[in-house]
Amino acid sequence: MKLLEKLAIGYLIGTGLLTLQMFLYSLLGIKFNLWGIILPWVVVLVGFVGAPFMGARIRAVGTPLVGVRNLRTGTSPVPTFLLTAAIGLKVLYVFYEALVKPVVGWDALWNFSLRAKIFYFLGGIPLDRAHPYFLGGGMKQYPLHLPLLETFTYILQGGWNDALMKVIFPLYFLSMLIVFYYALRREQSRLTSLFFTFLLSTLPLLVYHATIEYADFVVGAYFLAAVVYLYQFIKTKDTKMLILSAVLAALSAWVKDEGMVFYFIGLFLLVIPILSANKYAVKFKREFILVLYYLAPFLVLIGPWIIFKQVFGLSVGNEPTFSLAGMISGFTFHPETIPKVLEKMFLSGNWHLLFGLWALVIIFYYKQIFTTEKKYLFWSTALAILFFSFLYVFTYNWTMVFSGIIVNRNFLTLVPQVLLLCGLVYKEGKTDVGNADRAPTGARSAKSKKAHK
Amino acid sequence: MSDLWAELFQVEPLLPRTVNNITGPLLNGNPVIIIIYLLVGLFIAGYAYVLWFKYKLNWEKVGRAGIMALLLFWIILEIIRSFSYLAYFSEDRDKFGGKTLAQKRSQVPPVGFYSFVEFVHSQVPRSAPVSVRMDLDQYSGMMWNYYAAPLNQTAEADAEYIIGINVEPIAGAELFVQTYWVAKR
Repeated sequence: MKLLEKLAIGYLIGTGLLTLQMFLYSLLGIKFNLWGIILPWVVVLVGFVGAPFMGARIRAVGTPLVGVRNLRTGTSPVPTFLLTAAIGLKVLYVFYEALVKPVVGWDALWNFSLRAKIFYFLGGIPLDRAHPYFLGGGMKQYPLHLPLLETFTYILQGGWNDALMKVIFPLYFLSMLIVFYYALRREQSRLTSLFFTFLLSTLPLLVYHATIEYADFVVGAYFLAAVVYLYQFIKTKDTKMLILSAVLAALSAWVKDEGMVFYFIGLFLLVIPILSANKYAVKFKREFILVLYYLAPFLVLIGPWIIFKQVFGLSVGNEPTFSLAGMISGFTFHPETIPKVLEKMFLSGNWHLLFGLWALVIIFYYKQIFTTEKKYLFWSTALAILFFSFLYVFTYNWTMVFSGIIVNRNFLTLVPQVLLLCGLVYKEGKTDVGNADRAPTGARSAKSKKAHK
Repeated sequence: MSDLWAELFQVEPLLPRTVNNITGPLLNGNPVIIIIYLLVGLFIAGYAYVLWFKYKLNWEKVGRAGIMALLLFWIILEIIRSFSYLAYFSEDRDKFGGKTLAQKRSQVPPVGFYSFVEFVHSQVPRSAPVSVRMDLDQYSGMMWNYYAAPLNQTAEADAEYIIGINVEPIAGAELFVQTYWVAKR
């Protein structure tokens, strides 16, 4: 893994662990203060990780990317430069737009940033039900990652500057681009990887959300990274990748409740091949341990939050109260939402031509997808879409499909993966034309030889 | 014709609902994307036909050509979109650039609201129970809660301070804070 990728993943995991630490402090009644929060990390970094990390970093600079084979090299520097410049410009734009103005988003004003401000001024999370700002007000059942991270930026600044606070969102955007680029770069040339990263940086709704204070694209950054490293594990069988994926998937549930579903999508993709392929108990045992590796981060990182929600009787999602019985009795059937969702996917300006590209890639490259590990990338996205579609068709959420509130923001969580699959399957022209032209001839001659025999 | 060009390159305004949806470029009121899909579809069909008729049909080759065409249109859409980005950049630079945090907050509609909040904070101790008399729209109400927090808001009977504000639209423009006051009981 390259240093830049480590930094991007470090931002995702580091911010997640930091806010979990702040949550723990509040449970223990410890008031927030800068040194109280960062000192444990300084000790951990310097004492245990620092020296080996530095050594590994120096070694990593000169090492090639894992899995890069037979890629065309020596591409012209001009397109590379142009694409890098285009991505850089978009990143600069996102930083500027985020930092130039204070909090303006609706959900931020009544929920995320409101809670952050209260946590900052009260020095912790109010856990007394009688407190007028119990759990910071807003949507009390929403996970606390984003409000706590915003609080941390205030603590770091030593004041309530909600324009500077917004730096966390462009940093998530940048981390997402970096993780995306390296996920491609392990299999594609630099030019193709840059080109698809450029395409990611052009998705209009994603760019807009990177400049405001909402959680949808943030959970998407975690989901993307979790899927990227799960895919990497499936390809390389490197257990470290599985643990990394599990940690990122678990943290996505700390950002938004949908993250819980994304985590279980990852678990499903891990378990199904094991259950279907293994006939031997010994191998099954080994792979059962892998499942435990995947479960452990969720239990450790998100378990306390789930228990906390149970203790305080907090609901899930937007519902003030949630129960399985209530959910079943509230089932509806609204198939008329499906055309509306398709319209949002294919005909709106949110994603440029992303879903058209996805459709073409699935139609014309289905073999490359469904006969290789890339099928897991397809299924992670498809299952997420199925989950959201279930909500739209069978639950009260159908009204929000028609009011235009829900679909695009839900899809923000999965669009990077849609593009990732396209980028990984896409083949560059020249080399591939040659192969494609040769393949049928070769096949024919092999056939004719057989027939001749 | 020039109307069509103007419509195509029209800057999409940033509205509260932009957070949920971006319409994208339009032609005659319809999404340009429809036309693009139609053109790409025709191109794919035509290319497949030519390959099938004159050479040897290779679906992977057809697919790649279709994808290339789609990506070309994607870049065109992004060029069109960049006009909106330029407009947002200029607008925000003029509105917020080089200003203090308090000035920036004052620029967020309803205009003048943050001056009112600052006035309240200068008059009311943070822990004092306060009650507010105001008839605000939903956004201004959220804005009040955000900026006032963690002010101790309570029922008027229990309040030590009473705060009043009058927010009105002016000349069809953004909401504007007309008057405000703080009274100690």
